[in-house]
Amino acid sequence: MICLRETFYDSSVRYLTHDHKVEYALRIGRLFGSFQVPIALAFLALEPRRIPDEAMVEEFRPLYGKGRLFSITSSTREAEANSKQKVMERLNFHPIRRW
Amino acid sequence: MAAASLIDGFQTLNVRDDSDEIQEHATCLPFNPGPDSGISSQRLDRVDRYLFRLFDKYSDGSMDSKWAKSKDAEESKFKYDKDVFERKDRHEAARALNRHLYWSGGSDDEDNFVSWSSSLLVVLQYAHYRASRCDFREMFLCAVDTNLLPSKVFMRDMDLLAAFSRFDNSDGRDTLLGLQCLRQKKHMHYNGSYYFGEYLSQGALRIEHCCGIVPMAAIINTGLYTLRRELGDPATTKER
Repeated sequence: MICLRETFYDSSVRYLTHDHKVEYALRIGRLFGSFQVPIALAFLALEPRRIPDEAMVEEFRPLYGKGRLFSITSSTREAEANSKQKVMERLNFHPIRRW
Repeated sequence: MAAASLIDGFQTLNVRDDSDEIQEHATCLPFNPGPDSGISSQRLDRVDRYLFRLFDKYSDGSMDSKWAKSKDAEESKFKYDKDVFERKDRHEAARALNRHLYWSGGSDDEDNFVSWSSSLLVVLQYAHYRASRCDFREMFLCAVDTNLLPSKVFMRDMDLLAAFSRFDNSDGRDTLLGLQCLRQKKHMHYNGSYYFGEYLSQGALRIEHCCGIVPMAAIINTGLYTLRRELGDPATTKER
């Protein structure tokens, strides 16, 4: 189980994520070259806070038309990851590091 | 007589080194709100570390790994090299801001702004919205590290709205004040507001070595839908 600090919306929020999601986030991050780590974190942090994202969905609803908007809601936050330390090292992530 | 003239000449001589200033002006157009704007300098310095922008061939202006240019800067038209706060006619500036934020400008209208967002999620949603008329392979996500750029080159839409809404005399409901109220509006059921972290830059901004630009198709193929399966939900893409 790993616990990441959301840094792009609200630094006070923490949530859990899966190991395989960390892997995919890192792969996407690598596309951005030297921004690999922060962008990987940004993609990982797409698991959003529930409340503001509901508001964002509402904001974009007119663009999609009634009933066409896909919903972004918090999925079940099951935690399964191998080693917290291992993932932290791969992310070069430090709990108190601020981006 | 000659000595006095020489002394006068030396006294008026300016030996200030302007190289940094010239360099900065050549690569960006910072916002400089005056004291009457009510926006403090410290507030302008509080910019999110990473900002995102989605663009494709239909986007106004131009974007590449070196420059982010507004439509006016790209075409060297109107007041492309002038800070919006330097414009004498504030009503005209407010109309230009209104057109940009409401996406209501035509090809002949001036637009010296470029939009960014601190919310990656919103930008990804926007990409899927634009997918109805543009292929993901032709769409690009740009991320900039604002710490590597000069200060004051980005400004929150809310601050610009606060500075210009009183000069906006647009008719109807699409006013800057209306947009300001919407952004602050609380949702009926949820404890959030209708705000998605929009920032604006103006004119031409050199982003070389400060940005990463990746095609949306590459992001999707690398596993975006694994991270957020809702974005790739076929049921929703079918309807779009």
